[in-house]
Amino acid sequence: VLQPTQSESAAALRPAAIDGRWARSALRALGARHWKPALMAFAAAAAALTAWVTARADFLAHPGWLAAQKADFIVGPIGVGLYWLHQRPGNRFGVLLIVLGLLGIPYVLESSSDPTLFAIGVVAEDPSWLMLTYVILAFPSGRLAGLPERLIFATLTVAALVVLVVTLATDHLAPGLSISQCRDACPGSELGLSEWRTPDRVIGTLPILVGLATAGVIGWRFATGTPPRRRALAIGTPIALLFLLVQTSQQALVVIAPNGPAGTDPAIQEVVQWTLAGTRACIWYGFLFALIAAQLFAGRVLREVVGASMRRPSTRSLERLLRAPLGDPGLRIGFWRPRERDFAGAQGDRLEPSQGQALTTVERDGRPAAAILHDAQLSDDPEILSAAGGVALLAAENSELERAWNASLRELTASRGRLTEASDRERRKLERDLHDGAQQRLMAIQIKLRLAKERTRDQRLADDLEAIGADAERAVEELRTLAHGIYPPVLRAFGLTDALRDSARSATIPVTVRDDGIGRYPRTIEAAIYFCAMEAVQNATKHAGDGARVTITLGRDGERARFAIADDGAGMDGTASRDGEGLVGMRDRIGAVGGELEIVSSPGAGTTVRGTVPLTGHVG
Amino acid sequence: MSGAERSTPVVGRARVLAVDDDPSFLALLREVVRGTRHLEIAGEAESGERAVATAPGLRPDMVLMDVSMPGLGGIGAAEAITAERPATVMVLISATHPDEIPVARCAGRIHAVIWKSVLEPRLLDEVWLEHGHSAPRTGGSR
Repeated sequence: VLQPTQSESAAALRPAAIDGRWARSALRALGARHWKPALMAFAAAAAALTAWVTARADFLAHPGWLAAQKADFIVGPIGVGLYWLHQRPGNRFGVLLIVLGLLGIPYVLESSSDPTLFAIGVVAEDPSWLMLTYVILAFPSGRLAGLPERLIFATLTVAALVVLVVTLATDHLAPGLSISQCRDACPGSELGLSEWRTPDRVIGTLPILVGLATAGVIGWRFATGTPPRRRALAIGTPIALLFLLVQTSQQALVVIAPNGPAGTDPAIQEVVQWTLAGTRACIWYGFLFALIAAQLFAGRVLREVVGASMRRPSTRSLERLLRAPLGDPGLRIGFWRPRERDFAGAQGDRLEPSQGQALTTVERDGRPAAAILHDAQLSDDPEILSAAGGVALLAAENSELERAWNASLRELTASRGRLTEASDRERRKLERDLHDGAQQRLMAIQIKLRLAKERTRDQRLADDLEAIGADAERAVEELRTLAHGIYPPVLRAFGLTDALRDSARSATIPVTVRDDGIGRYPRTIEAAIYFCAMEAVQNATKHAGDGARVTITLGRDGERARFAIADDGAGMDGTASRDGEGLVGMRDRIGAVGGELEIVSSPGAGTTVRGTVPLTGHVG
Repeated sequence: MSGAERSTPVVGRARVLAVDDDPSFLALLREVVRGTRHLEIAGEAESGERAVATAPGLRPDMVLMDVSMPGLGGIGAAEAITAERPATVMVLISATHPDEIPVARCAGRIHAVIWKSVLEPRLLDEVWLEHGHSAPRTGGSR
């Protein structure tokens, strides 16, 4: 029962009506929430019934094989179609396969010995036939993409109608090439039909032309396709192509052989029959493998893309990354611009599909977010496109976040720096004012008092002047201490090493300052390091214990000032006192000038505070 | 002043160049020098640059140099002057405590650093008596 082209009522089945939306809404209308498992169960039951009926039909030559084949006609396309629908919900190819499987159900009637049922079965084969051709032509998008495909299908539909009319009008029996081998045993037809409808030879050539044209179109699409399309066709269509060619040969035999196929060599008949049966039963599995292969391929490409997205690729490098495996040199990635309401490419221009291109959008939270402009043929690989779009979006958002984060970090560091700088400036000014103002004046008074004392001969006055001078001296001392705490004059005048050596003299713990060539830096940096070091010395004084010594090391590593304050004292345990107020202050000071601070300590091994400060990007 | 003149022979006094950017302190320096036994003011300058320019013509035996002045500054000027006239007794007068002016930093021939807080005529005399013997007595010879 594997005759190709003769037909009946297939015209009623308008391909345009076979639409995913239509089918889905119809199924929704049934209220079947779990319609997929239900459909699969139904298909399995129908297949089992068909197999059972066929296996018991005693007039067939190979009932076992026929039972398997007819069951596969139902359960194969429906199973693959459901999987396809599950994997690519937006693609209606799965729906086409399901319809094909449903149309395979009436085949069971050809296993009936009742002539009427048998004849109906034969006629019902035609829509299934049309559908199979439609599926082959529509692979993998689920649509008849071009004019050739539509022309072929239209021709086939017309041919099927004509053949039906012709055969209905005749009562002409002829042998076929089915593996059922029932030409002598098959039930007669009450409709005036039999299994072997041999149409007019001119009409009989139409299916040949359609078969060749279909094979030609597939070949042409393969030759001109992008790598993904070729991949899909290479895996999905060889079986279909083989089937088409065998089918065409069979039809050719019917047309050419003087006595129909019966007149040909039985050995050739055998080969044609079994190849046709075998290839036809395998077509949908070719499509299944094509889908699985596409997913595997998408997985591989995505692994590369995701791997690359870790390296913070630019939009352009992502584009480059996708172009090679997808074989689309014109591929571009764009991002949604809410104001312009369009997608902008890496160059900031609007992405618009030109001839032969399509735009696949990636939505987030129901709103468009990114888009990939690509060769229209790439729609065959929706997995790659949507996932690649998602990766592009992630990469873009990451870089946007990183940019914003870096900007705010820079701003934060800069503002900390400005605050510290301002505070240092105030301290310096205060110290300067004390030093140049009040302190100088007091010293002038001291000198004048001494001069006056020398000039007087009045001993009491001299004593008074002496006492006032002592007061002035104390005032100077106090002012000095005050000014020193505010901003050490030595630091301003001579830099870190001298300032720290100077301060070390008044420390209650022995302090050694080693200068490995630190040099002079902007005041803010010097102040930060100075006060940090003083704080560390202060901490050592408090916590290092008796007999401990402190070594301050100052140096420079390229563009960073380096400092370390190490004591050989008791050390501290873990984090207990690690972030005390003093340590927080040290971190703040160093952090404000963009530096880093590290505190290493363990019991018995002393404490080392060390840090570095970058020398660039500071104002003096 | 008169007291100093009374106790010190006028002939043979060492000639002093006083340098300070603060006019009031310069006036005070003048008074302190007048209070000494061995020194007399030969010239004054209100900046390091002026001091360097004045020194060759003035040929001072001793220079009293304020440390912190804008521009060249006291130390820079001191270095320039002693480089040209090594025998000059160079005394830095500082508002900052001398401990806070590391001596190592004062390159050249600095004979003394005197804190303004302790400045008095006797101290200048002591410095002169200690270091002045090596200085050519130009005072009054011209």
